[in-house]
Amino acid sequence: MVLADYLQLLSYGIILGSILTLGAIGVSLIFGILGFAHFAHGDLMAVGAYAALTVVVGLNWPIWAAFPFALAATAVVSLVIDQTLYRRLRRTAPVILLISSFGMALILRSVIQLVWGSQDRVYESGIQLPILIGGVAIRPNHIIIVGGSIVLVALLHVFLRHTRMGKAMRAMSDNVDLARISGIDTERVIIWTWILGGALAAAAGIFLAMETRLHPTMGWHMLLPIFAAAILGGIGRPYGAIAGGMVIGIAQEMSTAFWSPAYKPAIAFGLMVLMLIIRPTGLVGARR
Amino acid sequence: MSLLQVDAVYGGYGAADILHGADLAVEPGQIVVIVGPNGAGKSTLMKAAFGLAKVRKGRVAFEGREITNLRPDQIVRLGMSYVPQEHNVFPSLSVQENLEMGAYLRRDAGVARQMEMVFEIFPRLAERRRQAAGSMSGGERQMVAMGRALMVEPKLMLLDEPTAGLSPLFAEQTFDRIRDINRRGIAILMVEQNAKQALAIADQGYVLAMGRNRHGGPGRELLADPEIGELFLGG
Repeated sequence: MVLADYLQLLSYGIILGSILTLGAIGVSLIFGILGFAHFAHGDLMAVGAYAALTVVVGLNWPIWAAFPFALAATAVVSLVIDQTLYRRLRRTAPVILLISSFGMALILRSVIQLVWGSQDRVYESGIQLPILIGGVAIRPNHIIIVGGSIVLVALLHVFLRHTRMGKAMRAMSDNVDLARISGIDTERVIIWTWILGGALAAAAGIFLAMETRLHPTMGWHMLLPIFAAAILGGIGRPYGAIAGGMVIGIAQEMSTAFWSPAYKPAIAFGLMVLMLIIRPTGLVGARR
Repeated sequence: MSLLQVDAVYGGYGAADILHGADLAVEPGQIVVIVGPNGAGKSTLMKAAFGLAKVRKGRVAFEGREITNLRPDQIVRLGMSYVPQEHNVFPSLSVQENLEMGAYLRRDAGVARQMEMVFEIFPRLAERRRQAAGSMSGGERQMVAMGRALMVEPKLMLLDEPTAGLSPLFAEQTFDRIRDINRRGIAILMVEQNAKQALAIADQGYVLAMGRNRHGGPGRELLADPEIGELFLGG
């Protein structure tokens, strides 16, 4: 392999990292605020991808026009799931919520399969001609995925740093009891957490579908690397999830230079285990 | 009418009661201190008043209004705030953001004025307003915690062992700050291990043992009482 090949893999890694980051931020936010690992998050990504497909096929709109619709629809789906299922379980042990979210993952996947069938789908058929930059082939979709992720992460940053609700979200993630005795309306914070988590999951799902294809299990297969990314960054810390997503994405793609691509999930898993052993609080500082 | 009135409260956290008929009254503008041996239910009594422990029997009233077993977020709206002993700051938030969270319920212009007042009481916080609270020393964190609780413009502030784990110098400074806050018209109810120092600044003191009142009276009288000194204040 020559340098250009490694750069090519790096570019794939950044693309995968962008997608993982968007998913991992949601997982991390939900863990921070609600205290459980949301196993249906991958399938929420698939819901977003298929919501966009519904608009693309049904209304014959281009994918960029379907994008905001799919984000909103997935945010609503997340909110409905929370208010009808998870909300009733808030006072129970986190493991019960975790198992319930596992059940929800199965439900979402089956509903997608019922409606859309189990065959592969794409938003638009045909081949995008890559542009060669310094020997690295880049397709227009790649620029949309990475650019779109940067914009969404920047918007999230502004929300978390500069809005009253964003600060309350960080506060609640730090210390739920203290948030409550400060008078923060924790149920409202939870609602906003699902809106953000759901919308970001939808964006991740759409980007994943643009890069590969749509399939009912597309999100489920992403769950392991997403959790690996969230744990690598220190679960409960949305900023850590960004770093974690990039590290896992790049490591997975770069590993294909040395090992069979079949080992990509093993790379994510290995990094996660390594991190839990040497620095369980994650890349971004320790929780006090 | 007392600001806070606790009448014959029984309760705790689970099946077994920790409080067995405890009474308490805080008048407007007072400093009231609860002392007593370990496990007497001092913190539990304060938590019961703030909706953090369950009141099984008895009554809690704030400004004449019954608040028994209301949620903390409902009680804080009425003008009573609480500083826990531990985990009392948001570590990843800056000092200023911690204070903003204390004022979460308020949207009026008074928030900026109140923050200025907090910075007046704790000038150190003004210097460090952008620093993450989690990276500060124990004494500084206690300032942040008290500042956060002041942001709602409370009529009564509850403090759970504000000097626990602080060096004697910082403890001394904390008592000074508490008096400073009190001089601004805010009543204080606190639980303290440093019983002598705390009673010295108290208008009213309560000695709690086994979940019920054993003694009560002005802080200096309790300090002067040889029996109390021997039993509860370590001679």
